[in-house]
Amino acid sequence: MEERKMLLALTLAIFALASADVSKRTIETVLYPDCSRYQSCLDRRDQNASDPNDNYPNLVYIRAMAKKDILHYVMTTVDLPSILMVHTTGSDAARLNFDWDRLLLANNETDMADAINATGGGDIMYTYAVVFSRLIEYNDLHDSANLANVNQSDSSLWNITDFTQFRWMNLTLGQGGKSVIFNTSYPQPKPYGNNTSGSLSFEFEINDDDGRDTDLPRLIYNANNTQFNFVLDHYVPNFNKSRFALEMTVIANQSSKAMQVVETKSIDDEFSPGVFRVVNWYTRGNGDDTGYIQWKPVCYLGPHRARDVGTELMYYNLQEPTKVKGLEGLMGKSLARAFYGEDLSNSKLVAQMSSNVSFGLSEDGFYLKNNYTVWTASVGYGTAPVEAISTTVIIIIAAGLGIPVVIIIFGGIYVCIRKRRNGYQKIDDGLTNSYPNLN
Amino acid sequence: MSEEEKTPLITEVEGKPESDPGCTGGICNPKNCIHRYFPVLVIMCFLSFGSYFCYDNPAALQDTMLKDLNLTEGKFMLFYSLYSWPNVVLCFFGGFLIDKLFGVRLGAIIFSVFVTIGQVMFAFGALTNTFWLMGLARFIFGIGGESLAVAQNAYAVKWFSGRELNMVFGLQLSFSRVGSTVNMNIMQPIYKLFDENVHGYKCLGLALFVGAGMCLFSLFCSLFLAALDKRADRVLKRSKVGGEEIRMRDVKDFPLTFWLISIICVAYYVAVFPFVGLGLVFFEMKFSMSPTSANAVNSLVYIVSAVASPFFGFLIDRTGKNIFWVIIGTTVTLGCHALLAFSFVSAYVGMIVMGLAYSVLASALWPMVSLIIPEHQIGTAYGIMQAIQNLGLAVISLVAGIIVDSSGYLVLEVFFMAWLCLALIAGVLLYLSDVAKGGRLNMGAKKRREMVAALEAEQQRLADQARIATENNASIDEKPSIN
Repeated sequence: MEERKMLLALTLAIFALASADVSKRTIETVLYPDCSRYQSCLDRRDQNASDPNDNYPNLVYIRAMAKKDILHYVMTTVDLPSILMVHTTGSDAARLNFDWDRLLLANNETDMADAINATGGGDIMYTYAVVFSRLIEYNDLHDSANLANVNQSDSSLWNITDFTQFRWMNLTLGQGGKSVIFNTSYPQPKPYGNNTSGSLSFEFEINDDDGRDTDLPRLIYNANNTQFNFVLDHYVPNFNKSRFALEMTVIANQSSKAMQVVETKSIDDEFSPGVFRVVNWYTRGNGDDTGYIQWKPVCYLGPHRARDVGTELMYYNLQEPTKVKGLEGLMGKSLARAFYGEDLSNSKLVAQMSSNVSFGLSEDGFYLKNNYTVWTASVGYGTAPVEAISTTVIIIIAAGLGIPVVIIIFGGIYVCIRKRRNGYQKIDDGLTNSYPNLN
Repeated sequence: MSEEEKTPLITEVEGKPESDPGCTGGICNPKNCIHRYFPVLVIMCFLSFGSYFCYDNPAALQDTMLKDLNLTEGKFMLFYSLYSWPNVVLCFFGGFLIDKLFGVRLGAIIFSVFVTIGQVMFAFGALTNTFWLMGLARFIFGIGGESLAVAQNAYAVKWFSGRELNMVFGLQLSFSRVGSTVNMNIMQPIYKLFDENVHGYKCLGLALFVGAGMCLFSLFCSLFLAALDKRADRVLKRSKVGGEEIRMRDVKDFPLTFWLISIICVAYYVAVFPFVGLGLVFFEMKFSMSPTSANAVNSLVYIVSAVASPFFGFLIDRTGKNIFWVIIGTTVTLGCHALLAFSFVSAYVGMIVMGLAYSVLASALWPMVSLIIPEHQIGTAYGIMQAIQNLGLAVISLVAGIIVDSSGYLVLEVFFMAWLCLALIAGVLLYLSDVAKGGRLNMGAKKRREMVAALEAEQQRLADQARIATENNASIDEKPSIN
């Protein structure tokens, strides 16, 4: 009886998992979806690439399909770099539609609201978006590597640029449509002349199955999440002691459950040497139907990622975007506005929270030392991947410590038995004979 | 104990001790125990102060050195590998030469000269921004440095064997730590001081000449110590026992216990030093420490041992039972590593206790060699031990770096723990084989004193007999009327 109950519970659990977590998906990538129907889009898409003022309205629509459900991803650099995820039930026709006029021709009278719509059947189960709003650069005079320790009111210490001021290059698509790279040079006009080779980029990698990334910090991925790298490559800083931070906001269609950031510690750092913590920013609690951003609190100061170029990534308390100076206006111009429309300002329908992550640790030589920073995280839906001590490590521990302990125990027993048998008599007899006499 | 090991406190040497004119007080008299502590022990401790001070000059000035000499990290690390790799072999020959050719007095002087010349060249190389010269200088400095440590050990055995040897080894360890700590703290201020007038690599060169001054001071110590030692030999009639020259092949006849001690030495030290070398990031990341406090925790092992090791040495002198202390030290260190690896308990606990355990082990381990190796081979024995240790440290530091980069700190800690287990097994084997040979190493202090006294009395008797015999012979030859 008891067994049958357990079996039932197990079966239910498996079904529950299957509803959200799928291990294999088919990826379908569309560049500039619906673009041909809008002159505004065609003009911008087909512009002359050699134009120094090029600013492409990069937008990629990806459907990750499984039998029962579809994850729709939209990644864009229109105004603000963002990623939108829409989870629908599995009707093949379920798709998102894009109104490019609304997206690109927004002005004071018309705005982006409702430029993206879901059609073609299939119920929307859950949606959320991550919007990267501003690049924060600060003069870390006291080498504290902590935004909270920098004088907020002294504007000479800060250089904050919102991403609408950047010009984005034509995106790069790779790995059969599973990787998307958005690259920008500099805010326009370029403050340091055109000959700087520095860049800032967002790289997305969409996963269609399970595994673990080969690059540090070797995050676990699955078919329900997508990884991104944020890269500052030879970006010319304004100060000698510059450090950078990234402002981001998460928006989700929910009202009741609060967003939370949860950090878990582990003794095991085998996959990312020197990193013992995993951070999850859950959109609605730790469960199997939550959106999440997962990262390890580390960023790397070189393109060849290794422990010795790793430095800390710091994150801060969640804040409502309305309470952050200048952020609410930016959100009104983002992908979130395009999808959620008026609902965005209705906290009963849509929850939103923002936070910063800052790169660096005191005494790591500031950004200038290596002129490079890369941060990796994954954005996903369902159960956030959980790190566990691998079998290999358990075997290593068992062999490395177990064998010697066994030898010591048996050695100890042997000694005891021997001592019992022989007593101390013999030992005393040999006192002066057995060692060579010292001279 | 042996004839030349004999210090005057316990056995009275027949015949009047010669005294130097103008200095007959307690401090000057080699027969007096005050003399043994001051000046001998003090000078002995300063003997390798200069070399420990200068060894870490590059680390103390790393940032300025990279900038002023325009070095890459790799070139910078060469300053350390040019020191350590040759010493995988060199300090064995250094020890052997002390036994075979130089004797401890001349040996210490020669190696001090090497150290001083090396540091002067290093400073001169910096002054002229000549990288190859600096590399060569570190090599020459290395020839002297490690072998000087061997000579220092041999001196300690010569003067303190059978008495306060554990404490003396503890004190020497403590002084080596003090030397490198002083260096870490004053080199930057010294550099800044010179930087007011001279800049760049010239300033660096001048700062390094301060290190050369320390070496010169240690060189004077070696000269002074040699003079004191010679005088003591004369006054106490410590003479070299004839016919006991070491040959290279004697090494293979070193007892099993010696090799076990060497195994413990290497297996233990590789679990401490390379760990400290990689500790900074571990403490920063695992225990979320600021770089400043992570650095403080990381250096705790050295700071604690600098303070604690003379006390533990003293304690071990009182109690004897060196092997038990070694086993306790190893086990406790194993526990500390386990604590750091498998828990989030404050790193301060693990590192402080590890510092204590390291002090216990170091004070108990090294003196044991003098209990099983005859004095005319002691330089060679310490040379071998140091060479094996250097080899272990050089190789394991590399391997540890590879492990941590590929598999992380947990696996690295397991790796270190496996080495400690090996040390523990060697410790148990050492105990067994010592028991089989009579248990001299693990003898209690009281028993050890009795044994030393008995041996010395016996040797005294033999020596007296021999002397009387020669004198009789002489009297027959020269026919003086009264003996």
